[in-house]
Amino acid sequence: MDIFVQQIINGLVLGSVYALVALGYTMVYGILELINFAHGEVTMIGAMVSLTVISALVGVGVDLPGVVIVLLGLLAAIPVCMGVGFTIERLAYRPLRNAPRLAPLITAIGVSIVLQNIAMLIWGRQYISFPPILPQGRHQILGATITDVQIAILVASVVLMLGLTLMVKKSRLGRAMRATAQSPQIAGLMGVNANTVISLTFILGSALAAVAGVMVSAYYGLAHYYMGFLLGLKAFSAAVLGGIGNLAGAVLGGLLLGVIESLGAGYIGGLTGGVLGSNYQDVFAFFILILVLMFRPSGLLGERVGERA
Amino acid sequence: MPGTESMAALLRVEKISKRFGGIAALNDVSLVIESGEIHGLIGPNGAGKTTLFNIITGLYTPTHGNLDFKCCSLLGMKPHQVLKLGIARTFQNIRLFANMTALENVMVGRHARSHAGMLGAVIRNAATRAEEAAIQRRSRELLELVGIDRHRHALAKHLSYGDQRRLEIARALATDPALLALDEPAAGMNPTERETLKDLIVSLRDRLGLSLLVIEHDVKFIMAMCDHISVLNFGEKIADGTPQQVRNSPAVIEAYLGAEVA
Repeated sequence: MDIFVQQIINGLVLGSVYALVALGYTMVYGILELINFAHGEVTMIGAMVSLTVISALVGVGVDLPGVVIVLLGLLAAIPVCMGVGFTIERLAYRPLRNAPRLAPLITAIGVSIVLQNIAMLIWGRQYISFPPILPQGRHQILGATITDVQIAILVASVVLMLGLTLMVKKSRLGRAMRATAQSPQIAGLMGVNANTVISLTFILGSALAAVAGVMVSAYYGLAHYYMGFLLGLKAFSAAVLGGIGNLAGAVLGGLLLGVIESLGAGYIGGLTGGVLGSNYQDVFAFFILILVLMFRPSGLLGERVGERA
Repeated sequence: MPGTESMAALLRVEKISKRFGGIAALNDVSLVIESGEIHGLIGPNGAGKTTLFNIITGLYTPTHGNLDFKCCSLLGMKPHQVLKLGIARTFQNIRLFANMTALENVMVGRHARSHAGMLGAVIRNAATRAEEAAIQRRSRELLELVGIDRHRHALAKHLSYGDQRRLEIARALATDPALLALDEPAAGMNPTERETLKDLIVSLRDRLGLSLLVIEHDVKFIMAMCDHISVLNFGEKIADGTPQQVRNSPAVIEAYLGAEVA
């Protein structure tokens, strides 16, 4: 029982990070029907930038609480990622707005590789470790352990998701986003500038990715120029699992994928009599994804929000 | 308000031609829409009515000719610029945001007349909240005006056909137009709904001082409410005048109205 609860907690924490990244995929898809494969790399850049700032602050021996230092790193990472997201759309995708759909897709993969290489040039090939400055408190619930970092990740994710939902549902720009997703031409007629909306979508998604990047590096205690690849792939899968283009779907898909992966890691060894170890957790997660898509090809929350008129 | 200076030309369409490849959809069409009038545009299918609408609202660029609205030429303007200048429209095939509520559809119509940006959306300061409240208030008023306020929380796609048409009118009104162009607003409505719609259109002229340009196939409907009618046939204007004059024009009777009114 303890293991079960423990894996659920771990899964929810991991899943909320996936969900934050998945939101970026799904928002862009909802409006442009484009899979922005470079989004995972934006997350990686968020992790790298924040770690650089955090390490520098720790290096010069700033006398601040660990939480504040991490927040400063986050505050540096967010605008950088927003800028990267905006620039990617502006330079790589906008010129291809009216090109066949395969062209921006291939471009997205290209952008992803370019960003990885830029990151490698700047930060090198080695793993960068997260300084142990965060509170290490552990709490017992239902026989399982939850750490301060895990609680912080969960709370921050929930706040961000609620904020995003509120923004998309209630603000003038959120309405413009949804209108553009449903019918770009009519939205344009109403005075909604599609370019502004699209830029905004990339900027918002990248800000969430920056936060997710900091979370994931704080959680695992390290960052690497290649970390965006698998994270991006999983977040993309989460978005597809929930029904791509659907914000609630991305959150659901993210959490599910995280939980499935954790449970898989916890139980796969016992279930297979030790033949498969917990390192098969990714296989397990993707296997579930394939199963779901066989029965619900449009994802769990099915019908897309942005149905084209 | 445009209605105060009566009988001034609001929109002047001058010798507009539009060719698609070798086909002339419109040929040398001129017409004037006065401030505060309901102007009917009739003609058989394929006469070029919707093409003219698309030119007026900036979706198409005319091959030749000029358009003057209020002060300025509309030539070369993008649709949203035309909208900002004060021309709004509805569509023959309804084009609402199907998965947004009725209220939200109208609120999107306020987009060009409001300002809150990303910062406002994130921090939700007093000015943003006040603007949002004003957008909502105005949108409710318009839904009430067209008579579908009770359905404001329904998704547009779940509204009846007639209500969807009314919603399109409310959304167009939300852009504060001086000229409202309606493309077959009564299509698919039953006689009672048509009667209500006619009253609505007339009240838009009388109470809001709007000018309206209306495409419609139902001749009785159009004759009953228009101040002025232009008739298109094969891309040319064949008649222009009061409903009485148009009704008696031999060219119109031959081309379009036929035995129906004669």
